[in-house]
Amino acid sequence: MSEFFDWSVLFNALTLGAVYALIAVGYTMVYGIIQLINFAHGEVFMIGTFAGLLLFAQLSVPLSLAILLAMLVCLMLGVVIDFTAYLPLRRKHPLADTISIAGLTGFCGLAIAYFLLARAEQSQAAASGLRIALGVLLAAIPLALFALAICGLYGKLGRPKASVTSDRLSALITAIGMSLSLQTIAQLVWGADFYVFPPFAKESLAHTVFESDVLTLGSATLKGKEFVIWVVTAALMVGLNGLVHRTKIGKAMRACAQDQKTAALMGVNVDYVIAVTFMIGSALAAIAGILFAIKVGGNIYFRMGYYPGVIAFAAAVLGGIGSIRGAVVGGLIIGATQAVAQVKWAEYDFAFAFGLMILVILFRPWGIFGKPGAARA
Amino acid sequence: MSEGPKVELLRLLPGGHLLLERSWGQLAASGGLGLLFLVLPAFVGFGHPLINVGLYVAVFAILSLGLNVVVGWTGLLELGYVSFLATGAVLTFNLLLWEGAGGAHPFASSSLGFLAIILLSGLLCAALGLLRGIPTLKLTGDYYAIVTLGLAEIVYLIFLNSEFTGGAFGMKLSSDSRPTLLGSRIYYDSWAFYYLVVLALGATVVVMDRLDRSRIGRAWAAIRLDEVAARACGIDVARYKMLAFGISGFFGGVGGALYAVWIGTVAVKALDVWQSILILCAVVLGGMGSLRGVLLGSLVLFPLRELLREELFGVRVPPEASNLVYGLLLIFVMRFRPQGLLPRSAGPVHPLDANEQEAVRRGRPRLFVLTEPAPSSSTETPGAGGGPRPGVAHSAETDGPSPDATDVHPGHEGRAATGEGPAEGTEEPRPGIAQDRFSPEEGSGPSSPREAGSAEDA
Repeated sequence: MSEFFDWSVLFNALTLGAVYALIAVGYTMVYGIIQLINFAHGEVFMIGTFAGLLLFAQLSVPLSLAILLAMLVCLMLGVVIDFTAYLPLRRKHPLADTISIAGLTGFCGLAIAYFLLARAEQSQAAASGLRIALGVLLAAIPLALFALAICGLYGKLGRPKASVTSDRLSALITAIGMSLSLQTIAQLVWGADFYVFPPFAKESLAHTVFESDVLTLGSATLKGKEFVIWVVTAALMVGLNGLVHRTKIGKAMRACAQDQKTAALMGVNVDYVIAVTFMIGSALAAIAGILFAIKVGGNIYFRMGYYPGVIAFAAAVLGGIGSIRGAVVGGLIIGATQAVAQVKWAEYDFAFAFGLMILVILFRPWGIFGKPGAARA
Repeated sequence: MSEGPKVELLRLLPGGHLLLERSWGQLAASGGLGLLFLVLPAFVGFGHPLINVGLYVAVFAILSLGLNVVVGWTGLLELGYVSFLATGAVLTFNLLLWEGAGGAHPFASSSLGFLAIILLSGLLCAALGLLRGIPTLKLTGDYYAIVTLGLAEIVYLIFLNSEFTGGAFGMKLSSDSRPTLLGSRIYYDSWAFYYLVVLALGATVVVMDRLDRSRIGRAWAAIRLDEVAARACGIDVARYKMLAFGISGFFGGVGGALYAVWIGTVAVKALDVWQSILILCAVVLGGMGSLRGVLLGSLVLFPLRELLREELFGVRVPPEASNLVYGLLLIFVMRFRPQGLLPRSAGPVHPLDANEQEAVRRGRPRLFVLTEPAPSSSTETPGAGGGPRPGVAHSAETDGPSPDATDVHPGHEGRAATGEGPAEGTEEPRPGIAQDRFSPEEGSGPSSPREAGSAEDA
């Protein structure tokens, strides 16, 4: 067994586990309320990482601020995804429907135009100005959609007409479509290249925090960047637990997870609660993405969110869907599996994680903290 | 009642009696599609890019039809279909590259070898489908989708890191390992290969159509609508689900073998899960569970992908844009037309046709009744033909109750009154009853073929 155990394996397991836990929270909370595997969550993770990278590396925003802004971007993205893709499947809301469809189509069209200009730019300089204008528009559409989503949630666009009985298969296919669309948009805007997180300047605070050695056990050294991931995850999970169990919105979330119709009758704005759930999950995905990118040092590209996303869903199932504790424990178990597998079969590490996921779904679909009857598939 | 011109025409065809229940529109559409594939080379010549696109569409249409068995008929969202495609392709290349005794390439040097490869590939994938069905039999909904996705990822990772698939670099056919068909090696401009693929597509369509109208198809529909009720009606759910997995896998393997030969190099890296999503997209766009819909979806989607590689109206659209189109299509179709562009014309299940009614009346129900009914019974049931039928079918084609259901109804009422034996009554709703039961849903409009989900929701 000793060939599999090394302190570095433990460090790696905890780090992976913490990242998966952060992503899994987004899945587990959304699934707990609307029973939807939000496939696009992995793409939120990817876009959050890109946002942090661009803010930090190109606009030289301080790292902490860059992370906060990336979280804000993803928070809005989460709401926009819900507003454009999933809300129309739950509620009939003609005006909001039209706007969201127009926004989505416009955004995709602009992304293609942006890509075409990027190619033309190499030959003629005049395209550069147009490209900036397009870039501004590209940013403006999600902002406008976000504003409209918030207005819609507070009834400013008129109350939604009726709830639509859309089946879960449709919702899942929509989620897959959203995931594919976001991935392709990222590919159009940022290309298929691998981006690298730039090294921190020496003497800077970030450098001291992330690059210093915290602990040395045997031949393994715990780097600051791994330690930061643990601390941040632990703090966020404690905070989130408090939010869900101590605050009013947390109570509303738990109520919606139990019974949406009754919660609505008690005066809970269910769509607003769902939007908040998306916000929280997406913001956590952004911070996970940036910290993970700093730890790995690179590998930032348009499909980076797919594997962590699916694995994190596995973690959520393993822990018991709907449970935040479960997401953390599930994330740690899956992270440990992957870290151990990396020792000998590095190219198959994800296969082990997927295998564990399949075993859990087959034999214990309600997870560690769930109750057998609560498993819904 | 005298037989209409259609019936007389169809009786001239070999196997034409199988088409007796079809409307003129259906016959014209399928005939036109077949003709398009058959005469396309006459206009452009073999080796033209358009032929290449045609081959691509035909191969992926076979795959879409295979996926439709699980997604559309059994009602399970399958996300790992690409593993059948990859397995078939890898097996094909390994058999073709196998040198045999003295470098003779036994599988590559004769037509029989190539046909054997296609069959073997299909059978292997059918076996794999059955094997995969054992653990996934009890799963439904999201969990089935995510487990098939996970298994496909594991297969993908194994293929990507194995010697026998060529790993990340892929495999290439040498000139003496190219398959032979009708005496000449298959290259991109081989006419024999083109017609083989078209023939395979035709055969797939016929098999799928017969399945849809058979007892098996009705059992799948029952499982999709309500598994518990299906079990209560005496349907062996496990057996029929396994059958669906096996059939779906078989066509995946056949499609994989044809795909491998069509593309000439197998890069496993390109066969990732997003390929399954692409195939799923064709099924969803056309209409899950609708044969004509799936064919239309393939005809619309797959050329798009190839066209985007070329310059279009002087604008060079990036190839990535096709993925964006697919993603948006999935969202938009699910929101505005969840039943697809061309949903099923009939209700969730096809009513018994004249042959089957006859068989039931004699108390000998069969899986496939391919014999022509006795003349007495075909005149007895107006469903088998007759003058007014084309008109009925035409008016009903746009929207609303299916022509089949309307046709069978009057013929059946008489029989129901005489009180026939309940030979199949437990498993298959009798047409007369089916008409009554399904007509409100038909009338309620676009949501009819998609009750699967609402049943699952309950």
